[in-house]
Amino acid sequence: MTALAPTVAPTSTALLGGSIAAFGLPGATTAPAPAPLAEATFDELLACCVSERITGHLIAVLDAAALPATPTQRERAAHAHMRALARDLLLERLLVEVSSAFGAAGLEHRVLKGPVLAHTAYAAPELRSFADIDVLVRGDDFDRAVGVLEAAGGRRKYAEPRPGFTQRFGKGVAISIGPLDVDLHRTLAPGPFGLTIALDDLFDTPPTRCRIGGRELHGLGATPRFLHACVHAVLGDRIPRLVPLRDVGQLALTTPLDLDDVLATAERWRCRAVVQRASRLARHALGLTTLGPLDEWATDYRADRFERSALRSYVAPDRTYSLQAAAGVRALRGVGARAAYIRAMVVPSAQYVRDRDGGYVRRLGRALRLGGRALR
Amino acid sequence: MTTGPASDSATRPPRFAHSPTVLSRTTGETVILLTEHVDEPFELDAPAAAVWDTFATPRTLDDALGALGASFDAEPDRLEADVARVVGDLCARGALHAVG
Repeated sequence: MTALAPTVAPTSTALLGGSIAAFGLPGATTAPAPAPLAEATFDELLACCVSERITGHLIAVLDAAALPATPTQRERAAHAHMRALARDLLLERLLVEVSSAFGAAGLEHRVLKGPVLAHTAYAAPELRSFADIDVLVRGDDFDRAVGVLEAAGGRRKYAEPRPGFTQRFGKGVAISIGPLDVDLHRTLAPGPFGLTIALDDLFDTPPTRCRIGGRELHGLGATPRFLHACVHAVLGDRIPRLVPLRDVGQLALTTPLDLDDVLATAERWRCRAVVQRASRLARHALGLTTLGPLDEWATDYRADRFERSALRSYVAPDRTYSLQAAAGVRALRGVGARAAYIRAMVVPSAQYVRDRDGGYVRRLGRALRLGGRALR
Repeated sequence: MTTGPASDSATRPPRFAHSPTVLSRTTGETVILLTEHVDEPFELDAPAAAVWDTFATPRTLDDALGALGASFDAEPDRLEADVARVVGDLCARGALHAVG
């Protein structure tokens, strides 16, 4: 075994999952694996890779013999990967259809995350699977874009707090089309950080281009897409998922990135604390020795009060949608905007309350409990 | 007597290429394809995947046979019949198309 042939140390499934997600990145720390995993451990690892959507990296690890495996284990991994790839193709076709429909309706849009990253940031698209498709439109176009998707058979998964709320304040809406989902975005995150992003930046920087299914698709430009990877990694799930963390590592270490521009944009978006946390999480979860020039900045940066408070509403163990919504008030500028936002949060539509809380009585009970907790 | 491109195209054997709308992924020696107007992706096994790969750039059937001959230990007639069958199937599914 030489230093040029990195392998993975099977110390625990969680660590192993991180090592697999990091496979192939410069600076990924790896150690020799002496023998195939026991069947029960492999089962656990495969379930982790399927749920984290990193079967592509698992296959790369097995192909490189960085993790010894029995023929049965290889076959099961290959089968799981084929299922993931088949779903990726169905989602890509839906993406092409959505992009074509938006194009025909004159709706400017950007493709976020999975498919464009798979085709432009990774060595092969098979390495980056995805669960749904994410498309960003301008706030002014948001309701029209929802109409286009509904006309194509789409169905909103949740009502908005009040008519026009998402177009002005919301992150976006999930729309089911058959068995697949389109996440239609107005901004990149719910809550306060979604409200501080300069949305024009997302459209005004030169897009990343790729061709899928005969159609040219536009993703975010280099700086916004790295910041979106950080936002997704840190603010997306309470326990950060490996795919967005790998995206952070992938973009930081293998694509041209102008760090000065990244940090200046993050400052303007008031989300430098998110970038700092993303770089720390990526290094830790993926076992990377470095994220390049980002390390030094992340070590020294001290977040301001707004960023600390906003970040807490996403990463606190007791995080709730209500907590994020409340933190959103501080991110808004202007009395009118704050009043409209608060009104929608305090007196939402009946449909929204049914979707989120099951009814006004339950919502009131939850509000009282949250209030009581805040007073203690 | 007719001359020029029209007569050339009438006598020239057709060239085939990947359809621009087909979506694909590769894992190991297997290729997964999804074509328009079909609900399920389908898989190509290793030999069919080799034929598919050959048409990444437009080629005639004869060109493809020349490229594939070195990879397969088969009688030329048998190879030609098998490749023609795979090409026919891929064209019928909309994964390959004839180009000018």
